[in-house]
Amino acid sequence: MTHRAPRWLLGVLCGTVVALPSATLAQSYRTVSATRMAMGEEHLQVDVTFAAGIMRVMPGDGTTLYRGELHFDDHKFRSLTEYDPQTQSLRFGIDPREGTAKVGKLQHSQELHLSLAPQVPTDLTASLGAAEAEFELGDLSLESIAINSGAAATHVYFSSPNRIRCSTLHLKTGAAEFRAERLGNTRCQHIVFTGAVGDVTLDFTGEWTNQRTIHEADIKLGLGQLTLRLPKKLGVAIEVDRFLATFERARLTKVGSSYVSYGYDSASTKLHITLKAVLGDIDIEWVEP
Amino acid sequence: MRRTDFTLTLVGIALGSIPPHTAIGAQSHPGQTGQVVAHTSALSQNEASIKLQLSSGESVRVAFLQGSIFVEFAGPSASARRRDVVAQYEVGGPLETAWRGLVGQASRLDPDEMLAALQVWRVQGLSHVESVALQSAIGPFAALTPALAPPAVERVSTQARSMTEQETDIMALVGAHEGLEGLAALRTLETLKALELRDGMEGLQQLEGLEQLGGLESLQGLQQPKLEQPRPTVLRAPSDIALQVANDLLGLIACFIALGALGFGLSFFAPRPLEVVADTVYQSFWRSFIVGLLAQPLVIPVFGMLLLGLALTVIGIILIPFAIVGFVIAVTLAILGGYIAVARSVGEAYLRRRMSLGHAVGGALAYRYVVYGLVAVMALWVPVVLLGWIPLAGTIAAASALIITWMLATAGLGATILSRAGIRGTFGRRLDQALTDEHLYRTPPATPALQTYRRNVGVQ
Repeated sequence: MTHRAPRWLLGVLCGTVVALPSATLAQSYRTVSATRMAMGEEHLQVDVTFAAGIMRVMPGDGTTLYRGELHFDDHKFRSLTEYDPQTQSLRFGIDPREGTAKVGKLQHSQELHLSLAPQVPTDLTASLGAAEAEFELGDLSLESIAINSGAAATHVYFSSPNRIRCSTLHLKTGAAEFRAERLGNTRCQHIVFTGAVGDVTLDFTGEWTNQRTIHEADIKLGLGQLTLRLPKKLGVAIEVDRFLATFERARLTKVGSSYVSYGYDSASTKLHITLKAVLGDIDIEWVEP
Repeated sequence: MRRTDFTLTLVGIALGSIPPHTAIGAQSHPGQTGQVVAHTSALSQNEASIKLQLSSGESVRVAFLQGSIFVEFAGPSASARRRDVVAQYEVGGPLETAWRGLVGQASRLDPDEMLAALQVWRVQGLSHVESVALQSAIGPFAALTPALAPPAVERVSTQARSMTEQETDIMALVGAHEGLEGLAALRTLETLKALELRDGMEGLQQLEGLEQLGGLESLQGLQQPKLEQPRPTVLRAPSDIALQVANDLLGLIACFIALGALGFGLSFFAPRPLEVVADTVYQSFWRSFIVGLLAQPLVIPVFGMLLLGLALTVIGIILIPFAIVGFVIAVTLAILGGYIAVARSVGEAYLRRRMSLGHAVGGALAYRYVVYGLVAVMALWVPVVLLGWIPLAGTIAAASALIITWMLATAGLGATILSRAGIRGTFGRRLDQALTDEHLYRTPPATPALQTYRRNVGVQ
């Protein structure tokens, strides 16, 4: 009887020694890449799904339809690299595996890099979780864009004009820092932003190549700081519906139920903004084009 | 021992019955020739694989997985798939190391470059067995050829091209009929301007169509944003002015009735707090005004901190909707209640002066104070109603009324805060006796008891 306790303890120690390395190795990372040549496709539907990590979407060199790379925890996530030639649709990213109720802490950062063919008209949809995302969407041919980010820092950037006219740009964010820059290069007729909580900057500078066109922007923000950067040459009309939110009216004059910028009449391109905010600050910065 | 031998024999038979290749859906055999259009690679601790996809929809995949080299052929359909173990390799050996290096480069290579790299892949210093394994690995790629990419042409979808400016204008015209207010009205105006600039017959027809629908007449009544031009002076008809004055007067009476109803409610349900707040305003007006002035910019931060504090606690999150409603009601009541208390103190001062002069003022004084006070403080808006149509005088009257009303409301809010919603009467003292007639009704001092006794018993 006196020898049983030490043996029992020895068994526990051995079990611990065996179990510890397996627990440490529970996070094994996997790198997946996918590349497809551009074969004269007339359209591309891209759905990006990324639960957590760092991601970047950018234009490619034109020889490939898409080129992407994933680096992720293989035990908790599964990769999505599905392309259907019939529907010309690509699903790219990572999804939590079934039974993974909680992602937990990751040992290393997960990454997603995706480049798209600039010359192929594309509908881009992105669903992000807790991700640091950067979208460089300039010089692409985007027909519609929908970016839905959760608790993340998201940066959407249009460094150069969209190659084609775009119908709608949908931006949706949860509790996040969100920056969308040079939205004047999107060539989108309708821009929709919905934000829950966070620090949001919407920069409407850019080339605004569609002359004599009225662009619409619907902006809704729950709680947080909203900064609108507007070029002075743009004719801007803003309709504000706010509750406990301050609104900066610099260079704006109230006409009817709207605030209209100086030089609205003479501006060749006009932007009509419908703004709804509940609690926070709405700042407007006027910048030289 | 015999039983052990028998068991081992059974195990041997079972192992021997396992086919050397694990075939899945081996009925179909996708072709091993074709043009490569895409490739994918996967690299993990246990696996390193490359998959080439063909223009026909088929694919070839080679995977190094835990000591075995797998080759997998897949057809366009999911059922047409075949997977074979073609060779073994030493885990961590030179062959696996070289293969992992090749897979690691996959993300940087185009499909044609990937195919070329596979076809010329050689590893120095391999044993004979490993050389055979290498040939088995790259063998499936030998007959494949790269797809010829078409010349890069700027392609724009027909859908995108169809979104011309003309269609945009038509959409705006259609939208203009849905509600000519705010941004929609501006949009329609801009579209009409664009159509006027256009010489096409189609644009003129659209204008005529819009005119027939009555849209143009509606648009003519809109206030156009002529920001950089002086506004023309508009002469208004007397009937319009009378109508506006009548409308404003009715609005003022409606406000009076609403505030009066609220004041009656407060006087009935909370007479003491209302009286304390009114006393605080009367006795400490400037103190109340300063407190109200300081409180106004703090309303939003306090509200934000309240929400933040609730959000930080788990249980508090479910209380946020109630907190929002409660806070809004509390602030509204503080401002409106304070304003009514100010009115009550004004009415009380006026009526007490009348009483001190011996005038009869009637009963129900608490309600009377509120009514008289509201008449007094809302009389500020009568000049606005009457003179509002005159350009300068109307503006001055409105500004004056607005400023004074704001000051009274601010003082009321401050008094509400100072008196803790009428609970503490620290800053409210009793009224000046000179302003009241209460001394006239005071009970005379009682007759001294000793004198009464002496008078009654006749003792000197």
